Amino acid sequence: MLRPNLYGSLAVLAVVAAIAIGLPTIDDALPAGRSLRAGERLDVGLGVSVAAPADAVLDVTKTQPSLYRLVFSVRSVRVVVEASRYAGDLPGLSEKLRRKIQSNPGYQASQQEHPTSTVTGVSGLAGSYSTPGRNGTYAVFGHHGVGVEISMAGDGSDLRKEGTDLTAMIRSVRFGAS
Amino acid sequence: MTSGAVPEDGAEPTRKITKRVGARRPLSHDGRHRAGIAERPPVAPPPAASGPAVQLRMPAVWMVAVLVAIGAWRIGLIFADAVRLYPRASAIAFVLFAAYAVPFIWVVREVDWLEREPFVLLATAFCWGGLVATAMANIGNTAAQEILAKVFSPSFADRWAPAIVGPTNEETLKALGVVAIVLLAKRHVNSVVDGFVYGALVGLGFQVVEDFVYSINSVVLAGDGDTVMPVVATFLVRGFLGGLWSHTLFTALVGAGVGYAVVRTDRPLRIRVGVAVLAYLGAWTLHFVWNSPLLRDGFGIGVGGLIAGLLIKGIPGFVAVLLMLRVARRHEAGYYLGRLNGIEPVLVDPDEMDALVTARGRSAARKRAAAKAGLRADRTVRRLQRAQARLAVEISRSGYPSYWEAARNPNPRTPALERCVREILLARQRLVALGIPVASRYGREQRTPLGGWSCALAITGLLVPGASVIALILVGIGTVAARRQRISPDNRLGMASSIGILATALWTVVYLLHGFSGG
Repeated sequence: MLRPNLYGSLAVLAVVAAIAIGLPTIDDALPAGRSLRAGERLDVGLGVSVAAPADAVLDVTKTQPSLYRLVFSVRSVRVVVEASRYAGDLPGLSEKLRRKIQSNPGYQASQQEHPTSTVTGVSGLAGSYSTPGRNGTYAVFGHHGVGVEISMAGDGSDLRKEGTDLTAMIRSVRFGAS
Repeated sequence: MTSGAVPEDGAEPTRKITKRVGARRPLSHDGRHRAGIAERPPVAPPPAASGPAVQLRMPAVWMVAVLVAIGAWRIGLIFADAVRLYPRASAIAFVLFAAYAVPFIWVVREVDWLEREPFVLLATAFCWGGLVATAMANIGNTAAQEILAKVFSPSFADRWAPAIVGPTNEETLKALGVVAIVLLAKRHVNSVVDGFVYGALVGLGFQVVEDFVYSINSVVLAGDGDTVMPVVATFLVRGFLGGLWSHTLFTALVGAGVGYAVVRTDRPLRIRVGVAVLAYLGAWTLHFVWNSPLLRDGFGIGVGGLIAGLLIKGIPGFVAVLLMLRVARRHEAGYYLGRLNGIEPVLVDPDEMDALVTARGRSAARKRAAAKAGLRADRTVRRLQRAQARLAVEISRSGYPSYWEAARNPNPRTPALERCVREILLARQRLVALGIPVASRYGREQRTPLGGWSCALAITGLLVPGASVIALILVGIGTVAARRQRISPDNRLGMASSIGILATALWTVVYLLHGFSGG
């Protein structure tokens, strides 16, 4: 009576362990990054695309096309590009992103913002923020009811070193036919 | 646990007969009630009511305790984070989904009407679904989704992972919940319906906790701080548009399969295992179809198309499982009510037995009594039916094949059985005083044009907004008219009412969501 019960219980435990421990182990054993060519255009969604900077590695596990979210990294700098339907103005979009950033514990966005624009002439706003141990910058663009939010954070030295490429990536944002 | 006339200890039942209440030789016409399907063996006799439902020396008890503790810790962390960051949204989500569980629990208890399962096992099933299955699925789903993204592509994972990973991990983990209940107390899983009930509660626990987590995720995604609107939108979408054909239904199906494998020991092992596997695959397929991106664009024709897509995905499985449940319940009812064969009509009239077989029959008998003598009669009939059902279960516990045998061979008659008889006689006395000698479902019936029209309009209302409201008005008129004439309302009014409420709720949710998204 006890022995079948013990075997049954162990079988249940084994299946639970296979799901809760086995799958994460397999996941960890597989590489999450896919190297990108410099300048390769990456679709974000809603007709938005950006050009990959040099040495960029796409995070295939965090990129979610259905949420119009693209995630890649350049050395220690992690870049998140998100598109959404947005009918408001640029300051409103910027405020939304700042709120999202500051909802993370220890994240602080600076009060100063400056205008920026894409190479195709779509105007936007950019600013900076800090996270525990890292620095970050962000930018927002709005065009024909679609908003784009870009945020990136990493070591200060990497941000400075890759600054030109990252700024070029921000300016490479393209809206559908723009 | 034998069902023969000889008690378990092998002793010949004594001939000591004191006062025999209600023993009579079975008459040939007793077979006309639907309990006639009783003698197929779909149900094992339930265990004695006394004694603990679970024995602590079983290894399964400790296995379940450890897993529930780990699950509680992990889900507790998620809840604590949600409450810390979004206190208002978390409180609203908690209240909404806790309230949402109530009607489900009521329905499950109604399914479990004849032979009630012990509370401790029902609570364990719910906790397994809400704590163990959700916590482990949370880890496993994330890993499996990432594996798909790495092996195929982010687009593939994004599109198909919910359809592949969700059913595979979640249905497996929830099925293990029913298996755990079998390991804990196999003797309490004595019919397919019992398996269905335990499975439904595992699924309900999972559904409620998952919906809470989804609500908080939607608040995070909205990025507007501690706001309530994303919670309400999630509640409407997941609660109403997808709630009926979700985890509760899927795991109930798996549970029924496990119940079959446990109970039908008269069948070869391969058949029993095959049925359980088929039930699992059925639940997997329903879950896959529901989570798949198919029909997600609603045929490209807007809100109506979206609703049609949801109904096409959800209703076939919902109806199939309900039909399966109907058959299983009739088998269970047949088995238990078959124990009442040969009983004196003062205890259970053949017409009352006919009403006892189904929930609709019981309800019709109560409505008929209420139409004649008001709510007090309704309550008394409910009490009578409950006592009659308990009597049937007690007879099956006694090991005798029928009341006739149990009353002829008191060994001695158990106090529980005596108590049931007393309760029945008391309720009968009250009913007779109210002018209702028999609590049957038959009365001056009941087929009216309003019944047909309201049904047709309610079904039309699933696709045409507004039709269901007219159907509900007709249901109201039909019910009031029947009450005035002191007859039972047309039974089709009940069906029209259920479909009409469902259709009205669906369209209300669609309009609310349309409003939230700014038109």
